[in-house]
Amino acid sequence: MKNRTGGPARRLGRTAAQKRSERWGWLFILPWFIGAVGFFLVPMLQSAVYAFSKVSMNGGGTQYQFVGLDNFLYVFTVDANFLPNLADSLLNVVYQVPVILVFSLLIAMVLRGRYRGHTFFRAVFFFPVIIASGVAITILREQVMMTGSATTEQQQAYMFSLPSFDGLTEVFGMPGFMVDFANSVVNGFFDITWKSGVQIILLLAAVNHISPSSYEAADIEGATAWEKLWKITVPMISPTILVVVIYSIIDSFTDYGNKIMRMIEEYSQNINYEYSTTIGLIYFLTVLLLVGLVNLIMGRFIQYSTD
Amino acid sequence: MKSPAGFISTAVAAYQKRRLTVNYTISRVLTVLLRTVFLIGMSFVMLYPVIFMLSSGFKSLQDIYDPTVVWLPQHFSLEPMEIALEVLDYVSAVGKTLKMTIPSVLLQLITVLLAGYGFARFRFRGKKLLFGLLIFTIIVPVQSYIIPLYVNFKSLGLLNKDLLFYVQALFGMGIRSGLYIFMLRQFFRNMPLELEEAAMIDGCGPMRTFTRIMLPNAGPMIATVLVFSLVWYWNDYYLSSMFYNGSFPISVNLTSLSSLLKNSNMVSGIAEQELMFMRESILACGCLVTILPLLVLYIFAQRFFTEGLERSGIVG
Repeated sequence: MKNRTGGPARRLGRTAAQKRSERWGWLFILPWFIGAVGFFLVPMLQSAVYAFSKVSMNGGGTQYQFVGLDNFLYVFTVDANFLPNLADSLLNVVYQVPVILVFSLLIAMVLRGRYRGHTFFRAVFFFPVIIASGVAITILREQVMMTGSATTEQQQAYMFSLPSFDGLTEVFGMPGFMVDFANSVVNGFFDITWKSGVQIILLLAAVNHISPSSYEAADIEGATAWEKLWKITVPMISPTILVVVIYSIIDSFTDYGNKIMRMIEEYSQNINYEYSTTIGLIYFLTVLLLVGLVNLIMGRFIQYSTD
Repeated sequence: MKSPAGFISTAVAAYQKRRLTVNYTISRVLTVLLRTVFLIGMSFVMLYPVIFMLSSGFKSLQDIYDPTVVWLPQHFSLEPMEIALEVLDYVSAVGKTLKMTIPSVLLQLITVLLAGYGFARFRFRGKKLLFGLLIFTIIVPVQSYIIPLYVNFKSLGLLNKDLLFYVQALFGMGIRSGLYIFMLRQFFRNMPLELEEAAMIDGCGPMRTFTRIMLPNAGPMIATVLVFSLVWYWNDYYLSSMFYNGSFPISVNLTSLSSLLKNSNMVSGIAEQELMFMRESILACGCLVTILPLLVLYIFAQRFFTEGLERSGIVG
């Protein structure tokens, strides 16, 4: 029981102080609450209605006609692009999120503590946060540095590319697909570096929060650095690891470069409202499902400190 | 009285101790060396896009034709920059962006601070449910309910007005408001309770406690939220392209820069062929000038920003 007065207060109803606290609590969150209902909850429900109907515009007004699951059937049975794109997004998440997690943890471990130039390096590593959210980086990648390997079917655009990899085919007689793979791993890695800004910040904050005394105790017991990592650092920051994983998943799904996001945008610009919302709804449910699943699985391994 | 055996054993111990310290020093030097090399290498990766933009944005046509010019332009040229500024309609677009961004950021900050404090320190019925709603607003992207939102704003007559963004920000649904509320909640929860208790005993009401005690102590965190918020509003492309028409903020203009360049009527006094070769430089310049205000802001705010984040205690 968090309630200090315990049982009796509960039986007697709430005290005056509690009532006052309740009122103030509501007052503080009231502006947000109005917005959350007006600009989030209501539109969400409306978009659920759109997804089940056919929307037609005539003159100034919109008309809805209930069509049941037609839109959903169309998405899954007729549209040839949706499912592959969705699979693509999911696959991206599956391979990117672990790499992002390990990478940002590594960087956080290197950046922790004080040493010469630590402010400079921290500033540099947080720098992607400023730019990566913008369209500038996407444009730079896709239109200026169009440097994907030519043999892949879908030209992927990378921030970096190592042209020498293509040369490997000729020199060592490596099969083309292996070169492609090496290309995508190496070049994709730099992309991932760029997506890890916020994650590094989150993990660094968490790592710096661990009290040095636990490491000192481990030192006295003769623990190696590896043991300290797995027995102290990782358990202590496990709540943040969950946050990082979920943030990365959402970030990857809502990225400007994501194919489904592009589809949703294109359809809504072509005034194909109901279809756009249907895709949006399915997509969002998928994300929610994935996040829930991750939360469920990882929740078992998380250790919250008792504060 | 030391026996020879005792003497020998102390000598051995001393020798071993020295070897240990030598080993320690070597491993220490190696660690520092490795860390430095690693950090410098990674810094290059992080800064690469900016270096790239600076390098390719100022090349003259002569340098673009010349394959031996890789990083440093031989003939410095401002022409791509001029074209980019002209096609982007830079000055008026930045003005538009500022008019949209700054009030929104400030309004958003107020609401977000209030809500963060409300969630952190008060107990009220339905709080858990509301907190769930908050998490929902973070997870669900605006794209999945944009159309009803559009229709509603249209019926309110707010389309193509800055007021639309102000209203959204004021009512806690600005860009990424949910994330900030979450961050601030974690921050306020980590503040010691004693401060507020003392204030209450001295007769401060909750609002006064909040403005006089909590806010002054939340300085770095407020700076952090401000920087994030400015960045995300400035970089916003999706909402602006939805809700504005006619004249757009700078990031929307940037997305159409490439297609505008194909239409050579947009640029006066340049042959189509030359324009094609300069396309890359112009785009790099466009990207550079779009993020330039953010870069300047970051350089100045960097210290508060990183400190605030590290102290925010965003630990789940």
